[in-house]
Amino acid sequence: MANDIYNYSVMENTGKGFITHDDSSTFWIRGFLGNVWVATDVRESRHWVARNNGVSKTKAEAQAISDAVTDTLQATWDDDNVDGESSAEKIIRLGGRPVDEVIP
Amino acid sequence: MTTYKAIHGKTVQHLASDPDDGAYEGQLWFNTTSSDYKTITRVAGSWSAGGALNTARKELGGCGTQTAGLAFGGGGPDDEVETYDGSSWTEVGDLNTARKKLEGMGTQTAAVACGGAEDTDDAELWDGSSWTETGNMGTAHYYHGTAGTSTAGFAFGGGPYTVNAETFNGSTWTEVANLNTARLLAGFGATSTAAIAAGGYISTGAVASVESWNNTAWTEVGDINTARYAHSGVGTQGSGLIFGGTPNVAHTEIWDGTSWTELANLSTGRHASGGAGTSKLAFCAGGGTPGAVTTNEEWDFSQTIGDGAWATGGNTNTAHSNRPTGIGTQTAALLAGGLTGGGAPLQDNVEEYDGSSWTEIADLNAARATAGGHGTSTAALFTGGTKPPGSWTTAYDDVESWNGTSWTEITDMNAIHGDHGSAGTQTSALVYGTKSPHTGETETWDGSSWTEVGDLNAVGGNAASFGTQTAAIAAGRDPGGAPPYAQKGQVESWDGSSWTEVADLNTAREGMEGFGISTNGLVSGGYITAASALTEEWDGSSWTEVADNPVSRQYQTAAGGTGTLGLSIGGNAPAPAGSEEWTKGQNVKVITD
Repeated sequence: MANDIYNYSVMENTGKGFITHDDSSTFWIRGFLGNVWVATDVRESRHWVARNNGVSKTKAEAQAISDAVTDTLQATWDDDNVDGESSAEKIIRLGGRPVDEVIP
Repeated sequence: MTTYKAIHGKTVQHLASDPDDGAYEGQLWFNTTSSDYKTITRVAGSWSAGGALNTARKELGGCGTQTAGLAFGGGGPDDEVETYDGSSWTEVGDLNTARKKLEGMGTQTAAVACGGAEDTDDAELWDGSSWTETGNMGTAHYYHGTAGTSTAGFAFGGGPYTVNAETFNGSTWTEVANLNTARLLAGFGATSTAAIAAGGYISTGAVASVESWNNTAWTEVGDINTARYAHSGVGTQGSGLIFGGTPNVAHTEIWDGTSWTELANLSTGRHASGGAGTSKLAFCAGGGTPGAVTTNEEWDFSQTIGDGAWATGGNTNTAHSNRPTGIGTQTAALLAGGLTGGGAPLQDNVEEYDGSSWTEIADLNAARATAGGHGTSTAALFTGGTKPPGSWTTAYDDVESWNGTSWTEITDMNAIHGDHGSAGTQTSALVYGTKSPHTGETETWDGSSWTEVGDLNAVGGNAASFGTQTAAIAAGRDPGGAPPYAQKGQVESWDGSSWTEVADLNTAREGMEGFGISTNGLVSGGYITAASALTEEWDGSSWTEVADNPVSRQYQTAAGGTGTLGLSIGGNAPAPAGSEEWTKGQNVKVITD
């Protein structure tokens, strides 16, 4: 993975058929917040992006889109408080605070 | 000119050996070793003509494999014995006692023939060249089931309407726990400790019921699709095949450890044939159509794809986060409850999946998250969980039953369970552990009442759970408090009476979910420091990392009959309204030009 080259795109996960078994068996795919998708940059993954009407992005653009959504989720999480609730109880209620994700 | 590359986006590859990879389905390659063009295509299993027996007969016994088979007795009755090499049958040493409706187990060179009509308890051992009398069975059996080998065998049920079951150690028979229903039946199993009794005949006619043996007791499991008797059964407790039967049934059904699926029919419907082999490769020799025949058919359902892979499934109509509940299979699943997002109210929404899209159906009586799910999309039980008016972290003991149309509240559990493990069916369920409060309490449901049984060794909830009431897995545990949690890599196995610690997950985590049976399961996703894409496969003794899910999930749910076909659904961000389908070992076959 470390030496792989990736392509970056934004596209909506439309559900059935968006990623096929053939796709995920042929190249590495990972989704991130903001409908950002990263795939190993091979011919088949470029076809996958085209098939799903994806919009290609640079790595920096993709990271910025994902970060913006993460920032919103983190702010929402930070602002959602209940009087007398401990931090542990808040985690149980809401789940852990959304974390920053680094796109490969 | 149009080229292969232009059509498929790939060139024709030159490979030294055939690929063992589902990605090659429908693709063409050139095998440089055999100098053949090849492709992989999906197959549904098929019967083809094999070598004919020398002596036409029905009600014979069979054992061995498709390429090293043994057929004995049957007919008028006969003492004839024949061996099969995959193409032709050869007459070999006769049985000492001519009989019909007998069964056997073992190989072409080490077998035992036992029972038969009329009401005999006789048993004989085959050493590859001759038969020798051995210890008689404790009870006479005919049209019975057999499993195991000539030195560790098992015989059960059959005529004259007996529930008796007995094991064989190579010389003597020992009675063990009885079947639930006395009947003529077909049985199979690789060992004397794990077998299946399928279908059969009781005094009022053919039945579809099936029982599973775990070396201690018989448990009712999923019915066959076509009730029948005088049929043949081959394979193992987790992967079996039945075919033929009275009246001249051609239907073939495969058993995946949970349910039966109809596959390609025999070319000629027949009853009382001699069958042997596995669920992938078997033979069906002789039998009656209705008169005795010599014809033999060979079953091929061989698999060549090994690796599993994820694909996106249908998106749900409503987001289901924070531990919704999923049950069923990849093509017939239910999804219920959870939240619509972090901090949102609990919901009572329920959706049904048909393998391509989700449809909203009747709501739960009470909105809840973290409930346990048991059964199928048409006969389910949802246990406990959390619901208003209390905090959604407070667990409840109430239970709802689903009949395919509506939800009905039924008998409460003895203890409260939320974010707990769940396994089994609507009438034979298991619940274990709970997150709030943190206990290891385990209960069984028999369709009418709950019974407390042995606790988990490690208390807590958030376990990935799958299996049956008598054979289940609890993977990972959250004993309480804020993360990082301890025990989240621990795994325990339930054998129907107690929990035993088994191999840990490779990656400790919480909030993942799983599907499968106790010997073939899958766990995916979960929370580590963020939502995870990790997927691990359980083979009954150890965990192996397999292909990641392209969509990271945490606090999601899952559905699936075995570890080879399942769904991962919902959960917390990033995709609470999505699902992915896990598929492994699809039945495909390499075809040479």
